[in-house]
Amino acid sequence: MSELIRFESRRVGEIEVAASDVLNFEPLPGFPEKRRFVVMEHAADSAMAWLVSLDDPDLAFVVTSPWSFFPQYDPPIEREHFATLGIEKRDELELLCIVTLSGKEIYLNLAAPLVINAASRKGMQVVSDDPRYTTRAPLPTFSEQDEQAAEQKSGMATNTPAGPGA
Amino acid sequence: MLVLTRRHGESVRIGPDVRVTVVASTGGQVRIAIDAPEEVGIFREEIFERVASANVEAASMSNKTMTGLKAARGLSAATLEGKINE
Repeated sequence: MSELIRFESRRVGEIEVAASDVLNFEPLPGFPEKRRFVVMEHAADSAMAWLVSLDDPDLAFVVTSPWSFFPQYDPPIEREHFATLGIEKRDELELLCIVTLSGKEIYLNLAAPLVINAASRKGMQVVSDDPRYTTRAPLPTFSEQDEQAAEQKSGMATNTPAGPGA
Repeated sequence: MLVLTRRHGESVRIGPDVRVTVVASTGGQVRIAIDAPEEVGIFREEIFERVASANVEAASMSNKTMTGLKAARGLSAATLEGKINE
């Protein structure tokens, strides 16, 4: 049985997590000393989750799996990242993108995803200068998704977009 | 900050594992070779800075905004779920 950790986060309130749920991150740009995090569910109907710092009660990120919004997303994850995380194959990774809100716009940081070795609980932010991806990729607006949904329903599309990534 | 002057072909060692060598320099540009273990991240500074700023901005999102976010995303996630289940 894993030991329980209690933490008073000023972002999400008091939390209790199993030690085995704690993720240990390589230093994050801007927050190099905050290394221990845990993923908390945001709400049952939400595509978003919290990445809560266990080292700083004021620190938490909103994160999400990017493929619900960007099905073709394919960030470059190189050998040195595999080495840091201690994995051999891409399917051993979990990937989350950090979410930013600005006014009414919601953005995903596609240029620097958070990549996690689920087995070892080790994580890192993969910083890339791949010109396809930005730190501020706006989510398709609700009305765009509505349009897409309507097109699907009308039976015209036989190629449904890819579902959420693995 | 330590500032050194090096000639072409000369190196600087940073810690036991990292070596930086000046390969060439012309017209205000310097070509640098970096020898480091695979797991040491090496980035153009402006890229790193951009990510650091983005992280800081993302971390400063208020809880009030988060409630608004929940409402919007809840709807959109449901729309997507509907598509997938069709």
